[in-house]
Amino acid sequence: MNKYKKITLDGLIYQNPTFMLVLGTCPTLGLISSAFSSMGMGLTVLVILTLSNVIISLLRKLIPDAVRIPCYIVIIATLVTFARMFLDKFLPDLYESLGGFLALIVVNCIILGRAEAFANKHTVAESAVDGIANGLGFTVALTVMGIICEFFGKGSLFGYEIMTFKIGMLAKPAGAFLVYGICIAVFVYIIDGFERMRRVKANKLARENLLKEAA
Amino acid sequence: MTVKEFFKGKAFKCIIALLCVLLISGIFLTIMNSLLAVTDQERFDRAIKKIYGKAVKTEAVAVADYNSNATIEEAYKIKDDGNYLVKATGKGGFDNGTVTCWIVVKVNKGAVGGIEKVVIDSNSGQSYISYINDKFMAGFYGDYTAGQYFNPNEGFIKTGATRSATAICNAVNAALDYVNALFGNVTVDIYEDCSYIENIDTRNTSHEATEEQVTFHIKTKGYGNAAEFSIDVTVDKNGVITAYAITTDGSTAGYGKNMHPAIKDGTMFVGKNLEGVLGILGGGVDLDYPSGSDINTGATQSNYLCINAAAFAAANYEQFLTVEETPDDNEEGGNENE
Repeated sequence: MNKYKKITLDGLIYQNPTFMLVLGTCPTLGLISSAFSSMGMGLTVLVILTLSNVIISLLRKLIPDAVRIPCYIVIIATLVTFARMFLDKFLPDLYESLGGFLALIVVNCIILGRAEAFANKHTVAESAVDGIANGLGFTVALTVMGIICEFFGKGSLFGYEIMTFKIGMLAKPAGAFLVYGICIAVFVYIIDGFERMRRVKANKLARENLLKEAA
Repeated sequence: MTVKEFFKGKAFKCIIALLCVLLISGIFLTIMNSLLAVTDQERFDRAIKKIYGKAVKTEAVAVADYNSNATIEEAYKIKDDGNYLVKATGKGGFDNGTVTCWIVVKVNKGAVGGIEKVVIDSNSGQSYISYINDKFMAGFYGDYTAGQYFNPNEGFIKTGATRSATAICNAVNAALDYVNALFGNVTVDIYEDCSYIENIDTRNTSHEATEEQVTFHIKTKGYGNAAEFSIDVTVDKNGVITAYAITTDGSTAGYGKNMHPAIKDGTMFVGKNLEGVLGILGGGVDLDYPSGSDINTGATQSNYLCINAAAFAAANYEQFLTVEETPDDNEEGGNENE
């Protein structure tokens, strides 16, 4: 398999930071009561993750091992501060809706995790693809859960009221926790289903090859 | 370790790497800060846009207070439509807290035309403020009639946050008074110079007077956990309270049952003059909050408001008694006309 395709599929599905690795749960539970906030948070993390992966990959041979974590933190904190300034200037509504969770991206496990596990061992292009894939995986997961929570919790979608029926608890972190758990279960069930189908297919192919060889 | 060894060593490399990252980050953020900094004017414009739904040009107007139940913080004239945007902090919220609101006062033909929008800016200690919703705010919108005052118990939906709603109404009423004053329509508060008005909502208090007696329809402010009381007190020409009836019990969360029974039915005040009423609290001229007295019944704040209402009526009845016109007065008037 093409290595870029593998990196992309890993970030999006097989090692999806939200559903498979259960990383970044703090903003996930705090923000998924609103589809707009969760998508905004996802996209902000995507940009910061991609940029931090690229910068760390570029500097991986210059930064000594002993101080790599402090350096990563400084780089990520700089990018997060820049993102805060940018959002405050150009997207104030999103800036307000993200609130304190925006600053907390500095300590988001996904970003530091990808820097340590991937970017400091791979090329710039591979790190960029990994950042985009993981960021997209996080964004899609958050947005899907945000849509579910907002729809059932507030009866609206992206702020537009759709129905009057609502389950108030789903618009709160406790309800978000419930939705998060259900989404993980469904996601893992689907991935497992695909994996089983793939294994059955591979076994069948191997059996046919063996029979052919025997004949 | 020699100096040369240190400079060639791993530690030095680490320090340099870390310092370089810090320096570059610092320079980058300094540049970005100067490019992306949001000015105070921008923040103000955003706040206005949020309230108005569009960007509008404003002109600051000098503030002044015409209502003791709220403080006017800022005021702007909207150049585009002539309306006024007033930031007012209403008192009387839960636990003596406040609610600050932005209020758009509609102007129609050089006079107050009504309230166009009310947006909550901030609050202090109002834990139920989230209960105040758009449906409640809708109670403010509409045409204005001269002398109109908003009261959370009339024309508004019940929110479960009555005290916060009171503070919001006070803020809106103060904004109306302020804009009315800008157009020269200063609302005269006839009880402004009366005694014992600290806990009396003078704007919503009224009286009926004859030569023999004055009946006050007193509305108190909230005090601590006690909300507003409405009390009718009749004082005769000798300063003695002849009737006392609570028409709206402001006790919250079931505290009403803990009120002193003689205060609740008014018998504690009937037959007493100001001295007698003050005697309930120990006899001082100041209306001291009771401590360690038999008024501490578990609803002390409610008891205190009721005593305050009685003291207000007994202390101020005299100036409202109707004076009988004597024949001499008519003659004097006649002479002047000549």
